[in-house]
Amino acid sequence: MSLSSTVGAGRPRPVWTEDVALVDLLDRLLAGGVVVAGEITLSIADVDLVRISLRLLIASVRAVIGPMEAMEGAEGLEGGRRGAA
Amino acid sequence: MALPEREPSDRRRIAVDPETGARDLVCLVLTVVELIRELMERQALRRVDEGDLSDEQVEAIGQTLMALEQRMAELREHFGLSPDDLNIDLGPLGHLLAPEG
Amino acid sequence: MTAAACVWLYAVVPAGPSPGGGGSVESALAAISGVADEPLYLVPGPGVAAVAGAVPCEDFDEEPLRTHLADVTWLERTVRIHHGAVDALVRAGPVLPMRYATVYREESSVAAMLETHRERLAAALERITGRTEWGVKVYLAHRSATESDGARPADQSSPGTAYLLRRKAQRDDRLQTRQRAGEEADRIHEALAAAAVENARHPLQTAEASGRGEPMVLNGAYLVDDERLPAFEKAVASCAADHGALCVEVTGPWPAYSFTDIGGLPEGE
Repeated sequence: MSLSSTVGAGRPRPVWTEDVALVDLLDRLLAGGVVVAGEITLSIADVDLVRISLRLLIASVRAVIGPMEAMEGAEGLEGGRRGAA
Repeated sequence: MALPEREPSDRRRIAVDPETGARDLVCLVLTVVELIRELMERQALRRVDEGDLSDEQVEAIGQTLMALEQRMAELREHFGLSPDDLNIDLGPLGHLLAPEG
Repeated sequence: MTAAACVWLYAVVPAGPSPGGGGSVESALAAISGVADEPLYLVPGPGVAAVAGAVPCEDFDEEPLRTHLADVTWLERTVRIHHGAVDALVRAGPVLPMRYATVYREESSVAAMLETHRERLAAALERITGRTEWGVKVYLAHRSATESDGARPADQSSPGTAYLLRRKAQRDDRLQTRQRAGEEADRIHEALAAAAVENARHPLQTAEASGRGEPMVLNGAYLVDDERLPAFEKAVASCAADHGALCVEVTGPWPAYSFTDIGGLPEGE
């Protein structure tokens, strides 16, 4: 819920939250932190992405997967082929 | 809720639960139709922008799209589906139809 | 150790006595459990030490780890534990977080790594000492009324054309709103970057990721001098007040995850 856009009831204020949302964690832990050539250093890009059935996936993954693959991945649309969005 | 008669081959592909399976199929089909409608509309607007259509063509395309949108709304209502129901969830890849088109 | 153990790294901290204040690293470690519910300990190095935990290879070697990472429940649980450990250490002094899922097969390799990278690790620690990361996410405040009819065409002789023009106007309006929002987001980012020592831009989160209906226009991270936090807070408040069409949300305090590149400044977005 946004408290910040109460236009007309005073100037809008930012929302300071202490909640640690998983997406925000993923933004930082998977793409941040020191990277050294460890013996087993897996970044999320190494993992088979299709097997991650997350509803909360970071945007960088979507940027990697092109629109055609996105459509071909839809279940049950064996007969369907559509143009790229 | 009257559903169209299905061919025997269709029945094999439907999910185990006929209730939800049929409803899912309807959602799927309408989502695909909606996607095509959006793509056609986008294409039409592009052509309008480029200005290479005659007034008659613009009118004809506009009427077709308008009729399509109307028909979609009727079909959705007939099956008790909201616009938000029409979307294929591709799991980690998000949804097929963008929220703002 | 009977079962084969791998080593999961959490962070790098300065070696030697902690600067005064929040207690020692050792006492902080005593209160933390790791991703495999293991106790954490220090692997000493030259000037720095690594915070580590012994984890079973059957779960944490490359193949099983890869499998686990595809399980959202396992991923979320271990991500939160890893973050919890790093966050708890911040109270005891500067903490350089390791990338999540940095695993070694031998402790001696960890020590070797600390030796190899001693200078860059020390420099990176220095860079974040006395500083805290804050996240600022900016969204469009509410969906623009895309279903506005606009003017009902007085001329019903060409309804198809009127329909297309209406749709075009709606779409142009949407695009313009997004573009304006993007420009405002850039200005907000610049204003906040000016109040911070370093800044980074993360990729925008999708609606599914953020759980918000409105599109995100900025996902920024700012490394702020702890002493200059009031100035940063003021900058955030100004940005929110000046951009009524946008929602500004601040997260933090964070350990400096986004500012740990030991090879140079991190590239955003």
